[in-house]
Amino acid sequence: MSSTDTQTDDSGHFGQSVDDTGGALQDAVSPVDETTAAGAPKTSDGGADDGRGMGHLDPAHEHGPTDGQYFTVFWILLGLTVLEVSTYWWPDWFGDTDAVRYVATTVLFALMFIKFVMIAGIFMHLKFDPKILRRVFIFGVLFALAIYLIALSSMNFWTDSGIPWFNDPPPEIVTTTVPEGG
Amino acid sequence: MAEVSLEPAQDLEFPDDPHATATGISNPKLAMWVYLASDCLLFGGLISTYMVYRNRPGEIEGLAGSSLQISELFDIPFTSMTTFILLMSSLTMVLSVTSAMRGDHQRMRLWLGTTALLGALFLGGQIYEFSVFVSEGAGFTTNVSTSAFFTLTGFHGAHVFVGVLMLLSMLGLSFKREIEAEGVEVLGLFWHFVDIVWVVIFTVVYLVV
Repeated sequence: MSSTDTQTDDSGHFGQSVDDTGGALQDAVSPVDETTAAGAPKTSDGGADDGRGMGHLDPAHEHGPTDGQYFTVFWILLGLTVLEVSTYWWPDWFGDTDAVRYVATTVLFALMFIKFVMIAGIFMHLKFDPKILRRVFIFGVLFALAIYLIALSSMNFWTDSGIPWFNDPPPEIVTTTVPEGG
Repeated sequence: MAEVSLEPAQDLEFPDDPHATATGISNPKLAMWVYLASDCLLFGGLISTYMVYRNRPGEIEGLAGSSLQISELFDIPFTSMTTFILLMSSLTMVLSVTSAMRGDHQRMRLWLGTTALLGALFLGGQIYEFSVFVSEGAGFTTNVSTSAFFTLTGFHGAHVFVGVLMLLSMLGLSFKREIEAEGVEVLGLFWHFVDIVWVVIFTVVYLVV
């Protein structure tokens, strides 16, 4: 955190560097205040405000999305959800084949990831808040992911779960008839 | 060997500010993020358990149970509707936070109430879905697959329930005294996390065949 970039909030309660509030992050959702986005120190409405009361805009929120941009994000998320739900009928529309199932599964995980990142980044403001919060949350997600991938592997999940991605098809059942009195 | 200072961390920029923290982030907000990061482990475990058992009901040696697969009973159009409701509640929550930041009490209350209502609707949908499953013969103890399913979605429902209670509490408090905008923001973090977890559950449990 460079001292020259530190916000000059009177209270210092939300004081954080412009670097930490995400200089590179401001391109995805266009910043409300270009001056702040450019990194110039910006004072808040400090004074008697302790920095947490109603009406206070902390530095991260000053260059966060507007209500209109939140609506845009919502419509995008809704569209992605509709696309997700549509995969349920893909076998009916495109045929119930392994290829369709593989594509649908891949699309579903990709959409899940995009929705996850959009909600965490924009609705939860992780994109605009200090980097330490992003690191804390990403560490939690990756830690959980690593632990449970190891746990699933140790339980032979990938080879013993009937998932066609990781398993050969079951051998055909061959019936033989033993002739009577033979 | 480097000397270790036992003095409490001080904000060098604002040494006289009693609210200053070493990270520059308020403690409630940081605490909520740490809690949410730890909650990933809880839901990761529950989702993994369901994934392990989803395709093998009644197959576990020593555990009696029917071979009924809970996924056969899913009503995707209905669950899609509850998913849409929860997604919409995320939008109303974020609008509530921005209203609080602007000092617009009326809109903040409106959006807080709307979010609580949408959360309650989601819970109602989940209770209805559970009742249909039970009536179809898929109860909590039917087999390991149904147990894993009800535990996972039940824990998520419990989070939504707690979220609705907190929303209503904050709404009630806002009529008595001026609440801090940061409090609404921290509550919003919890609510969005509940939505994020549902994004994963809806995909992994309901949609992936």
